[in-house]
Amino acid sequence: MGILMSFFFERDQDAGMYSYYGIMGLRHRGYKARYASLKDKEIETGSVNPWSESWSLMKGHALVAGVEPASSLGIASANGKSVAVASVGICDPKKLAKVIASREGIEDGASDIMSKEDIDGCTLVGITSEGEFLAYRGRNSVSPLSVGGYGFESVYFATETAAITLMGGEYTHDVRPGEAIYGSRTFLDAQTLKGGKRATSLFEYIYLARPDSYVDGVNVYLFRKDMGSRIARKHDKQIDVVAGVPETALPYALGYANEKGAPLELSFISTIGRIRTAVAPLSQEERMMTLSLKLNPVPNVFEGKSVAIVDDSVVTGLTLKTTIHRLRRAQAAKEVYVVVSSPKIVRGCPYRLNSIDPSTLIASTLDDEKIMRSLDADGIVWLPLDDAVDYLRSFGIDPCRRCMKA
Amino acid sequence: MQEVHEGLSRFKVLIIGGGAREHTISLLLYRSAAEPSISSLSSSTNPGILRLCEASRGKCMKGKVTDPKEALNAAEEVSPDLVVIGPEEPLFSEVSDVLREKGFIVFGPSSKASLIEKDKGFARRLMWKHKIPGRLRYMAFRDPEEASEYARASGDSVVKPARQAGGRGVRVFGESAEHLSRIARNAAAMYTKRLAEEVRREYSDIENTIVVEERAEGIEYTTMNVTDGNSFVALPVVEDHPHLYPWDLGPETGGMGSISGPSYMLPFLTREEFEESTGIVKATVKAIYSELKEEYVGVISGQMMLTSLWGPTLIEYYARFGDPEIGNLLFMIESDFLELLDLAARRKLSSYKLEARSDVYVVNKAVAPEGYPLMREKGRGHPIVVNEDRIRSLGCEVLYGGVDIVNGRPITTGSRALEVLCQSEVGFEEASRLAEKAIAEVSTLDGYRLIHRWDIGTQEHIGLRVKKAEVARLAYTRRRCKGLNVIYDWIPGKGVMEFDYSSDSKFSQG
Repeated sequence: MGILMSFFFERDQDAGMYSYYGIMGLRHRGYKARYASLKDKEIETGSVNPWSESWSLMKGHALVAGVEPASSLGIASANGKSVAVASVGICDPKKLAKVIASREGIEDGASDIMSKEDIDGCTLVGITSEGEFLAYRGRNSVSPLSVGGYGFESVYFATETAAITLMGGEYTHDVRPGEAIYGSRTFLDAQTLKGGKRATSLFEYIYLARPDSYVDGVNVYLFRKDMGSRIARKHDKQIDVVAGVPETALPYALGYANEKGAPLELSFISTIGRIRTAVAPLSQEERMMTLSLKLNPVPNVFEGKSVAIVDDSVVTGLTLKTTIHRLRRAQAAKEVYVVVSSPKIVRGCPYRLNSIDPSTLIASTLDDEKIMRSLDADGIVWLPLDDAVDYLRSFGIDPCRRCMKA
Repeated sequence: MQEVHEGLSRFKVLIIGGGAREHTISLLLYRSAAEPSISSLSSSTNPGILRLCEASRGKCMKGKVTDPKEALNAAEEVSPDLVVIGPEEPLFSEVSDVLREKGFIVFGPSSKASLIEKDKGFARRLMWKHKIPGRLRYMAFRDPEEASEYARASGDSVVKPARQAGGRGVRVFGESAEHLSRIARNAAAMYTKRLAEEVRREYSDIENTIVVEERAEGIEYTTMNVTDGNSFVALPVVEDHPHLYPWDLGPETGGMGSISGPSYMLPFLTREEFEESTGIVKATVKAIYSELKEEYVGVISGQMMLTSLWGPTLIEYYARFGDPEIGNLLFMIESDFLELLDLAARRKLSSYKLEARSDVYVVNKAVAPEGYPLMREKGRGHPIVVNEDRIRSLGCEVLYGGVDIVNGRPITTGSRALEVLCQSEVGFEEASRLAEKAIAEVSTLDGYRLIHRWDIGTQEHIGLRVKKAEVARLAYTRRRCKGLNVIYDWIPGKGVMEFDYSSDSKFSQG
């Protein structure tokens, strides 16, 4: 899930070429992107797989995109005007597009969108065939949206800032809950509804976002490193060596290792690059094959040692189980402790920001003892939920954690 | 009898130009102890200047400010003790030269000296030849094809018309990352060709069409310096905001507002950087003399940037007061501004001491009709209403710019219509809030949309600048400590290219 908008002020720049990199910057969130491109007064839609070998976007001077699953794109027309909207959350982008299209100017369209309570939990970006744009984060939307500009050429919006910087932009503002920002090549205005809650999804910080992003003003890398060291402080075990399961867990592993004073070793090497197995549309068998190719262990790192393996989140536990099994078999580690850089995920997302099936969540069905036994680990420790919440509260965010348990 | 006597002895000023800059100059001069009468020559009727002309029994004349004959007629009609030339175009078209020849005392550089603004290639060449600090790599071109090819090859560049064109036509083709280089270079090449052909069509008074410069990144600010060629009076530094939209988004403009204070400094600038910046401007005035044998008489403004490579770096020179920057001075300068301009024009500036308020934060915000700057036609011809009493009750002032009086009514011209200037002794945040209140008192009769930047002067915005400046400062001071002032570009297969940015020893900083 993730959304993006690029809007250029001059017609001689191609938003498609820049947005290509923006979508690359969001592809860790999904395997498919649907987009709409504005050229002259025509809006056309398309769909790409940003993980595929070669793909490109249609030419145009403005573009919106939504990364699937959990984000989507809708297009509607009224009064000879077309509107395309990409949204995250429980809302229908086609309906939102209709609301905007049925009003004369984008300012009225924005007011109409803001007045609808049923999209309070939604974040969206939209463009119109009249050359206008709109971005809105509902008062209760847990999905963030950042703004930036590329020199004097364009304005960009994206779920996380890596997408903005990859398009050459500089990030300058976070859309507040209840804030609508809209305009064209001749004006930009903003309105904010009262009563917005900055309840940005904790899952964004824990797992979804790239470590080179800011999410709603918080540096994701520093958050993860700090969380790693907080887990270490509460984990009273003697650890000789730390391993991080690439890629997401590495900043946590670094923070954990620093705090423990134990070395962090590069322990797994990928044969297939940086694929996020969690978001790829794979069968269980394919997923296991991919994981095995992604996590080939480096020999002779763990022999006779107490090892802490830091993993980003334990969803089904299958990745970890395979990894631990291999370590025991090939390297005879003395002890293997599992450090989970996430609180327990026990429910699916009520806002459908991830497509996790609750019945497959190990933490919702088994207690720590049973999980340990199932993973064949000597111990397991989770990121304390309170620590993550405290950290974000110091930035004015009271994160949504409805899928997690302390 | 007494009235006649007063009329005879009253100091008379003629101001050429009719924008917000000239309105500000009029206000600054009007409050002088000399109680001057103020006359003006401008192509439109500025409501603010008109009022001051009337109040001081001067004459408000309409005419073409770039025509030396019309300027001379106006001067002969008023017989002013001092002529102040506001905008740059009259300087380029020899208005100052003609008036001086006829014996008028003029504040404003000669047409030759104003080349420092008019000809971007000249300004850069001068800085390199005299090893003045704060320079950027550049190339100037006559041929559109050649310029276009260079823009494609050089990458990460700024493309400018070689001739000053009201700030229009400048575009930045940033390659903040290498993966964007092909897109940016293609766009730069296409644009360069188009712009070069346009410049060729529109201007016949310059040899080159295009200047392509290395792109600099950093925090912008303006240093304005009044000089008689020998002595300098540095004015408080002002920060301009070139983006049209809040959060530094949107197309480039002539400036949507400015902040200054307290005293000479800004929150993100150090005393050394301030002095270095004025030092660059002073060195340039000396270089102009050695190159052209012309004393620079007037104001020279350096549009500066604090960059991570070189610290204070010159982006562009203006042979005039910056607009909106000069607006801020209205609330900052305590000493007699008429005396300042008059002494400079008479080349007796050495004795002048400027007093600036040290206890005030000033925020100046421009208000423009929608359409500025990309579709100016849309923003032309809308009747505008300004509740000046309410604005003054907030302690703010209105500076009129792109407003003309047509059939007795103020009408927008499509450019920035006015500036609202507010002050606070507490901080920028309060001054910015006051400006928002003041702008709420400005509207159009036909309901046409007016735009402004609400973020100027807010803590969120200034905080970002301070942070960026700190990053740039760490980087450039490291280079300096290590004495790194040569850039080496190694091009595989071609060898090493060297660009020596070192300064003449007389400019070297401690």
